[in-house]
Order: sequence, then structure tokens, then C-alpha cells
Amino acid sequence: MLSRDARTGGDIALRLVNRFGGDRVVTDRATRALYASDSTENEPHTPRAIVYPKSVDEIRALLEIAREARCPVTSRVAGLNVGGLAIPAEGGIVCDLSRMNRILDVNRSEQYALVEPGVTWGDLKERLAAAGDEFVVNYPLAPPETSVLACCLMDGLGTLTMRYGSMGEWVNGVEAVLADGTVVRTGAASVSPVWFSRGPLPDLTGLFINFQGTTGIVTKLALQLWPKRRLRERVIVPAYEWAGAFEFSRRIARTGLFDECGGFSWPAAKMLFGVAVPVGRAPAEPAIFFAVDVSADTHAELALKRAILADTIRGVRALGFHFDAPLDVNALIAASPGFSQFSDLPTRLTFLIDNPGGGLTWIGAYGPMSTMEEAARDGFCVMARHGFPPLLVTRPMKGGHYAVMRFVETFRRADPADVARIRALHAELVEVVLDAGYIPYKLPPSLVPAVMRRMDPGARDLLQRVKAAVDAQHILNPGKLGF
Amino acid sequence: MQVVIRDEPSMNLLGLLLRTRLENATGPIEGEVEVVAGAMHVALRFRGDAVEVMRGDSRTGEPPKHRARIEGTLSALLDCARGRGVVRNFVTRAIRVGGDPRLLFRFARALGTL
Repeated sequence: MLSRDARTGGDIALRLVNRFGGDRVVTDRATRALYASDSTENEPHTPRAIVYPKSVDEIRALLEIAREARCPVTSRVAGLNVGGLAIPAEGGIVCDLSRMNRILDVNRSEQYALVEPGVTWGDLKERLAAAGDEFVVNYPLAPPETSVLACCLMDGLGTLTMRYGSMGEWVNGVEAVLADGTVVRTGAASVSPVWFSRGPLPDLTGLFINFQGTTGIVTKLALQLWPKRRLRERVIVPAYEWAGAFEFSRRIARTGLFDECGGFSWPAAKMLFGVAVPVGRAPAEPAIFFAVDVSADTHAELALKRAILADTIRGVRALGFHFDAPLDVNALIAASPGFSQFSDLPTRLTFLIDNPGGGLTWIGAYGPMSTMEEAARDGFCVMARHGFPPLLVTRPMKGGHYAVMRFVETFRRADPADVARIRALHAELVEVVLDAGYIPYKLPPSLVPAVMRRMDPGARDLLQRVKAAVDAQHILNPGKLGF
Repeated sequence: MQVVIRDEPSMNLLGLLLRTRLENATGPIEGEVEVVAGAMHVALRFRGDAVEVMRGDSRTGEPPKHRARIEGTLSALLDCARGRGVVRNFVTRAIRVGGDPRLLFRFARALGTL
């Protein structure tokens, strides 16, 4: 509940200016409007002020002011999470962490990077290249200006997810400021000076992953790095039937040999080639394209992996499914330079982010490999009924233990009817994915009730108790997990 | 070359893939060429320095009668469009051609394949 002070502004802005200085507290209408919304259909809320802290002590000071005024605080860096998670509460404070942007360590021995919240994927890639280019991380299909830390806390995915799991699993530990100003350090770093692993103590790091900014403001995060292989190539595998595609997905994951097998359905390919709103799949056109990443230390290893990929394709062809031979991504780029957006991550997918309507949203969900077909079939049905093409991003995760199905839509953000259409679609789509055993990640606030209804009551109650323990006043990003 | 895609929202991926190559092609060319990759068909109608790209099935209206035809796997066509593996793809019949050889020659030269 907002105080009168928070609703009207009162002296909060003045107190923030007195503490941080006028250059790091912004209250003008135009800037506040920029922070009020994102690319999604989620309801905009205008903050009272935006504050740019530069240290842990400043975050503690900000939270002290917020506590006293009972004013909500929402953390943010790029605001591109496509879940409405960085949209503040009306009249709240945005804690813009983009100026806390140091890479504090690249630990070559234990293979991790220690980053502050404002460090972007572009920054990290540059730093790793400068440090000898011996490590890789799980670059997401997101613009380079997005936050590494935010992506990890929201359990996103990337180019090495098929091998090592979603981003939350890459985190060795965090430092966070709780609502009462307590600073906590989790993982191995809670005892050791080295952030070498998540365990072996109770997993407090989990208190900050997928909690969507409701349990603390994370100020440092240790992210696992992996050795960079000497050779790497990406091929595109066109598949013509959905069932064959998912079978291929399962088989490729179980080989344990490939880094990535990201599938993009035909509307994504058409949009990449400049078609704003694809209207239908042409006869005999591939249903989905898999981007398969192969890495190796020797040419012999690379050749062996290529042979195993070819063998896997032969195996699904033998079941009667139609697959084209793998296409070299460089040949596709030569034919159509737009394809370069798929070759080097992080990337700005202009056909999605800069689409003419300005709206981008999705329901992305993790779930069983065994129900991929069911989720896709039923999801596409709902999308078609609401007039959207079956734009899907899918991949096996962590060696095929689970999968991601992300149903993506672009829309006209300025058109209330189109926004209403998206909301109606998502209200149905979330039930479809849940029915198939899938669970949305980066959970938009509007979909929280649907998930909570199906959650084990004990787990739901425990979540509430955890929240009460770390943020009794409910000032941290309220409403984002139903509390 | 000026490229016009007829009914772009429903154009198949082969037509969309060819667009950039055709934009960089140099004319003039006159005539109709059919390109086939797997089961995807595209009809190209060249008129001087312009080309119209149509789907080679009935959805976008009757495609023109072609004077030349190129057929192959998507992979082989992409290779040839980059000027790579042309001989190999012909010898292994990954690419097959038919029809007016002069038009085929001009088409290949315009795309930079030869």
C-alpha cells in the first residue's frame, strides 16, 4: 500500500535529491514517462522519481528513504525483459542500476566473472575478448545493452543453454541488499573469498533467482564462464514437420555434443527477411529452422561432430520426416545479410525489437520434452484464433532434461484494440502451456494468478513467508509475484 | 536490379532469400526463370533492370511460363548463388538446369555465379 507521501510525491523527491544530488535523481515528466512502460502489453505506471545509485551504501540509503515513506522501489537496467517486470509501481521509485557497471573480476582459475548489475552482455564480451578470449558465456538472443545480472536473475536462456541449463543455473552466488538494508552474500562467497560455486551450503542464492526483484536488490553476481573452444561453426537445419522437428530436438540434445539447437519457426524467418506480418506458411516450406552450434578443439573433433549431426538428421528422416541438409550460416548471410543477426550474439533482432508496431511480447515457458508437440499444437491453435502467426522459439535445455517453448507476438502498442487482443491471447495461452506441464519464466504480473492457482499450496504459502521475512513492508517491486 | 515481390506477406522463403541476391544483380535480362528448391517454387519475371518475384504455385495467380529452370537443394542453390561449388553441384546433380541456355547464362552472370 502506498503512503500519501508516495502517491503525491511529498518530500520524497526532495530527500532523494538531498542524499544523491540533483544529477542522480530525475523527476521530470518526460523521463518518468520513459520509465513507465516497456515493449509489452503490461499496464504502464509512472514512477515518482528515478535514482541512479553508484554503490551498495547508496542503495541502502535509498531503501531507508523508501522504507520510511513506504514507497515501492523497482530495480532496472535496460528494461528490456519482455515481461513487464521493470515497470514500477505507480508513484514508486525506480532504482536505475546502470551506473553500477564494473566487472570486478574475471577469475581464470575458478572460471567465473564477478559483475555489477549495470554490466551488459556487450561489456562482458568485450572484456572477455580483451582478457585473452579464452572463455565463453551464455549469450542470450538479446541486445548487447541488456544486463548480464538481470538476465541471470530472471533465469533466461542463451547459446549454451542446451548444454548447461538456463541462466539461473550459471550463478555461483550474489551480493544483495534486503529491504531493511541488510547486505547478504550467498553461495561459496558467504564463507570463502572466492566465488567458486553455489554450494555446498544451503542455497540462499535461490532467494534472488526468479523472485523478480521482490526479495532484494542484487548488487554483485558471480557468473560461470566456460572454456572457449578453438573452432566453432553454426549451421541451420530446416525441418518441414513439427513432429520431426521436436524429435530432432530430443535426439540432438541427448548426444551431449552440441552447444546449441535453437529452433525458430517459419514466421521468424520471414520477419527476418523483411515481412512485417507473415500471413501463412507457403506450401512445402520448412516449418522450423534449427540453429545448431558445433564447437571443437581440433578439426578431427569438428568433423566427427558434423558426422554425428548428419547421422541424427538421417535418423529422423528414416522415421519419414523431411529435413534439408544443414545450411552454412555464412552462405545464408551472403544470400541475405539480415541473417547475421543470428550468427553473433548478443544481438539486436531488429525484426522483433524495432518492429513497426513497437510492441513485443511473449509467453516463454520451461517444461517437459515429452509434451513439446502438445504445447506447440495447442499454442498455435490459440494464436491462430486470435490472429497471430505461430512465431515460436524453442530449444532443448540442459542436455534434454527440459525444453523451452516461447510463443512470441509483435503488435501495435499504441492501438488499445491490439493490446486487448494480446491480453486475451495470453490469458488463454498461459492455460495451454500450463496444461502441457510448462511453466512461464519472466512471469508477467498479469499471468501470476494463473500460475499460483496451480501451485502446490505449501509452496505458495512458503513463498509468502519468505517474502514476509525479507521484505515485511512489501516495498520491493510489489505485485510482480502476486505479493 | 529493382525487385518487386508479389504478395510479399505470403511469399515463400526461397523468394525472400533470393531478394537480396537479385537486388545486387546487374541487368538487363529479359525472360522468365523458375527456381525450385525442394518443393518450394519461385517464378522470376525479368524485364530489363527489374524483376518480379512470384510464388511458383497457384496462390498468387498463375505463374508465367518459364523459359529456363534451375532446380536443386537449398544448400546447393545457396552455394551457387555465392559462386561456390558450381562445378561440383552440377556434376553431382545437386543442381539441375533446363530450358534456354542463353537466359540461364545471363541469369547466372547477373547473380555473380559465373
